[in-house]
Amino acid sequence: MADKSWHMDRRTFLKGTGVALGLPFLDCMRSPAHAAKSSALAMPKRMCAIHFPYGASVPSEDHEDRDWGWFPVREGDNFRYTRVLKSLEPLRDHTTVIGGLSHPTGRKIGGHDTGDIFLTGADFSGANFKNTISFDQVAAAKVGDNTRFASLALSSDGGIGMPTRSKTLSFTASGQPIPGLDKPQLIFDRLFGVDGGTLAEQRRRLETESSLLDRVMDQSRSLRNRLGKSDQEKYDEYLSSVRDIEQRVARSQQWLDIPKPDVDASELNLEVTQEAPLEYMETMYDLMYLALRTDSTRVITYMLGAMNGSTSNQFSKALGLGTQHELAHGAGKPGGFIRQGKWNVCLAENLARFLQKMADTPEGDGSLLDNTMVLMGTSNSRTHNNHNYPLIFAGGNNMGFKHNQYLTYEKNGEDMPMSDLLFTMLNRMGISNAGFSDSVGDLSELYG
Amino acid sequence: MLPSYRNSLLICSALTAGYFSSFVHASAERFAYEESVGLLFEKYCYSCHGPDEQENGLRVDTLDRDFVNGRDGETWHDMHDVLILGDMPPEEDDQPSNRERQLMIDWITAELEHATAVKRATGGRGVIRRLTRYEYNNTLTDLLGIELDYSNDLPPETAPRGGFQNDGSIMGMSGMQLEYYLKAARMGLDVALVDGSQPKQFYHYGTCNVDRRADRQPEKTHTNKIQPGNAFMTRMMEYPATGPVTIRVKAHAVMPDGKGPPRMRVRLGIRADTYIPGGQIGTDIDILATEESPVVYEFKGQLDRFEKVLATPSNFPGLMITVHNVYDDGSDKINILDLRLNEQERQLNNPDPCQPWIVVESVEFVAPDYAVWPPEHHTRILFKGLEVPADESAYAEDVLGRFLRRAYRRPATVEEIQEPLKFFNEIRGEYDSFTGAIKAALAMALISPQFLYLVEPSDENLGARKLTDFEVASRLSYFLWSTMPDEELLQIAEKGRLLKGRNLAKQLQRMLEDPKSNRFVQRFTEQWLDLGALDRVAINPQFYPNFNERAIPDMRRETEAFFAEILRNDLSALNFLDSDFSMLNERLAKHYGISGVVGTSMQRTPLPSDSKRGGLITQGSMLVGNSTGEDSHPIDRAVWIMERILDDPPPPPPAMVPDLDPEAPGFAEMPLKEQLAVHRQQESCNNCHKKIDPWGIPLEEFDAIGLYRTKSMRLMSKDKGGARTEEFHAPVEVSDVMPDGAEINGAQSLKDYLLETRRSDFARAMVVKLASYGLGRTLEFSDEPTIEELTTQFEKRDYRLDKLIESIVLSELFLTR
Repeated sequence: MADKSWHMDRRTFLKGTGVALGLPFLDCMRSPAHAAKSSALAMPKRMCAIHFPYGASVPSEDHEDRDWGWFPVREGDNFRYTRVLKSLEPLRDHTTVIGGLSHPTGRKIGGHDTGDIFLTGADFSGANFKNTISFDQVAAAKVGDNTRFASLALSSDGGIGMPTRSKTLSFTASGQPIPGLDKPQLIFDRLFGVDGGTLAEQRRRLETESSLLDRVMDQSRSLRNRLGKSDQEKYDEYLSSVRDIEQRVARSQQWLDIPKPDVDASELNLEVTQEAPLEYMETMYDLMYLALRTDSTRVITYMLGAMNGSTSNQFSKALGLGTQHELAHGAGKPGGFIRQGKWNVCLAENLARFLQKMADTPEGDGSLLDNTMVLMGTSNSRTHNNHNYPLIFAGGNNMGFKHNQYLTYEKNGEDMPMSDLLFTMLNRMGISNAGFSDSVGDLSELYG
Repeated sequence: MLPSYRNSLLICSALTAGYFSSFVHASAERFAYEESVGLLFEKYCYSCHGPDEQENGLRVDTLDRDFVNGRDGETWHDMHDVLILGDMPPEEDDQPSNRERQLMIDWITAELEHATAVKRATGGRGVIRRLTRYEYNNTLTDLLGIELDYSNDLPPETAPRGGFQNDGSIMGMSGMQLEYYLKAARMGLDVALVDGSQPKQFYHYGTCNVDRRADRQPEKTHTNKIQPGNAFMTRMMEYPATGPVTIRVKAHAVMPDGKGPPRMRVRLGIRADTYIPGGQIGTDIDILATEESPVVYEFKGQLDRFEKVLATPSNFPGLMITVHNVYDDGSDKINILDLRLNEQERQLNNPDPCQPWIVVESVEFVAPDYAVWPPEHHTRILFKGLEVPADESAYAEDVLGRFLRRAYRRPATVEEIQEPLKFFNEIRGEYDSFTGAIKAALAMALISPQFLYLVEPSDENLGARKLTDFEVASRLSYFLWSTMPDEELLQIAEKGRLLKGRNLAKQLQRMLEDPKSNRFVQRFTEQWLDLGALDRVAINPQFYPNFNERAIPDMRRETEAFFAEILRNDLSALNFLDSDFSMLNERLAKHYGISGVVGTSMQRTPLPSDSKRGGLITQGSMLVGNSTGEDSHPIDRAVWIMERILDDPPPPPPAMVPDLDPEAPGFAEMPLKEQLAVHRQQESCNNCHKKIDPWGIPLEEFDAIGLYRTKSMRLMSKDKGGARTEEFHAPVEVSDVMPDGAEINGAQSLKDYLLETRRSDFARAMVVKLASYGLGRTLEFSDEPTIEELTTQFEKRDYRLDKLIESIVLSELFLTR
């Protein structure tokens, strides 16, 4: 235990969270042989990105409903949260509000087509809808081996959707969408579900699985040669999917000796569906929290709402408001910022609850939040407007972030590239120092 | 007084997709640059962005006009946007006239659409496609002979705008998805293949309707006369969690005059209140038996669907078998599925004499109910039953050969059998039984591409080739049944006779007559007409306090049944534009204000001559689906017609559309049409919206729940937060002018216009929609001649859908790759 300080002991943990999750014993408190092999003394560095659709309430500075705006109000050197982000007040030392960033490539495409590139910065010009790798996958490629799951992609709408209406935030190195999981039970089973049988049986099962996949692969490769060229391109998605599972099986084999974390599901509402949006979002955040806390993965994306996501679009109705889309379009009407602001309050509160739980979970000398960067935002500001993304950046204090700031990067009407922020996160995580996508620099104001 | 958010009108909401689906119109509207547009760019742009000056680094005169191969498409796109927004030319300079500005915008739009279509084109081949989620589910059900939910864990599918979920170019695949395929295959095989002797059978016989909370209260019995909304219940304390279940209900009906037959639904659950796991067994049945001669109605299902729940100990001991009367005439008294438990308890002993009852005499439960052992689904795969021959490997080879023939929808090649066979031999030692190992080998086949995809090998260098009998059989089967070919179709393909003589047409006819073709009706109408929109709209009770939510599923069924009626009775597809009948049940008819319909099933109902209900565009599914739940949504309705009925969707709005100006005097009190007009005051918006709005305005006669109206109700906030409101009734404006100058006044005149002026556009749209569904791809330029040909045939053959399907299936489009 001595050399791995993030393996908290049970008592500290229970005292810290104040959350009755009823965990008998956490496996992250043991010493996985794996983690020991890699970067023995370093704290884990994690990241998590969340996207919601159609922008936020952004009234002009002199608007009578300014206090329902997302962005804080500047007061001298300082800033004051409006009622929208008020719930982040207790987390000031963990939170930075950022404005004036956007993807230059996104400014040229339709207002609602930008969710796809939120984490990629891909260039969709000329009806070329081929995406590029998302920043979380860049991170997963580097740190993914340290955990049972290299990364986790979640989505309220589920699946992949289609270009310009993607329902996931994560894209592979070749730009293939990674389907977002939307069913809490399925996510839980994946992360913490236990396969039956003895260790020997499990090992044998995995060997069988791997042999099965080998044969499927052999057979499928030979089929490829008989296909036409355009078919082959599509068919390669299948081949890389087989490869994906092969890797997953190989990883399971490596992790076989380390039991999955024993997490008690009884406090989680795993049956919840998107029909109860508030409870659903809470459960999704809980699952993210558990995944991070048990160090099951260090990279998570959550498409809380996709642009044109028919399911998540309804979420705001739970507050008696219109759909998210309607709120965005109605923002300019009397009372419009108030209504959109009310929905934004709800989004912020959910985030704050998630952040607070992480802040309350001790890890090493600090908290889980200190070792986890959290980015939340949307790729519109006002309706159809692809500038000035409303963004919250939180956590990661152990990676040098200083917080308690409200930064605006817009200069002379020009935004800075959003990829600069994504790069800064990768850089501080020790993943990359060579830029990401179309980044032109890093945002040094965030740290140091 | 301020308008509340409920009035917010979403001008551009419907126009936000990034795809253009209508290649036909994109190509038709293209025109030469030189003719006129070039001069305009020269006149208004070159002085600052030309040979002498390149402000902002932009030089227009040298921009590449080839959007397909050139590199300047995106610069043109930027110019398109600044032209629409009126940002260029700068105010102080000479301004183009509105017409001139529009010419430039239109030219760029058409070129962009053209380039998009060209880039997506595959030369008419489409691209290899996998089974959709629902096709996968149907296929495994048929292949294994067990009805389970195989697709539950698979990610949801999407469709391209105006297209279908089976479009190969859109469908994705991922490692995770493949894992869930494997999991589903194993689950199915575990149920399909059995080991050992026949499991113990459980039997229960109940004649008393017990209280639903019998575990908490002393047993007391209720009447066996079940009125609509109520149920007969019987409970058994010991029950199995797997295997097929049969439930037989002996019952008769009591029907008051003027009422239809009561409808029976049987459910199993471990809790009476929530019906966890909520399982319906079999399908609903209308009860026609009389007291003198009661009938035993049989319901069959599979307990494995709920195995996990049934096998888990519960706080609510015992298994509940519930027989519901789900007759529903739409009246308020009826509230299905125990929403008001106490109220129902009270009513249970006092059936309403004005409603049709079911009198339940007895309920019999048998499970696992195997007619033979081993069951048929076992011997279909392991054809020697429980016996395993000494030469296991040879048997496995046989088994695999037979199985793969069905799974791959054609006989497997030697190599295709060898791979799983080798696997079987390799792992056999790890399994106690032959069955265990063969399951693993069969599962391997079920994640193979030959099963998951419709594989049609081809060599592009050799050009298009004729499809084999097997490939045609698969295309046909997935087109009309959404599942694998049945034995008859497979055998005729095996004999090499499917494409001979009239065989293909005969098979087609047989398949359309098979009940499985209902899947085509459901899947096609659902996607063509976006019936899912109904589920995305929540009707606001503040606006429609008397609306009965139960009418919503009926609206979907109305449209499905309407399509089926036309397909199955050789009626003209022009009925989609206007008709003198619709398909209604008592509940929906009541909602529409049409009398004389009784019963729960959808039935052909003649419409009065002055009715506004004929055709698709005034059915509830369209009107409600394209509403906000509070008011109509004329733009959504318009786009729906353009996209789905005419296959001519409007282009998406430009980036950065300016907000509406709600501060315009009197805005809140204006009819929607005038509110739209405010938006249209901006010339650049007007140019698109004058082509869109006239399709939606005439339908302003119908409110958000699809009913005729002369005023539209709004709630006006008295304060900004919208906490206090008062009603306001805005007048409704239903007349508008089409781009071609035709004056439209109300829904009927819109239908007349469609029938008279846009009939051939509709015919063509019908061809494009059906063909792209049948082919599993978006149609493109190279298909143009075939579409022309098919449209002509469709018109000649009296717009009959079955004939159109036949034309498509017999066309080169369908038979070659």
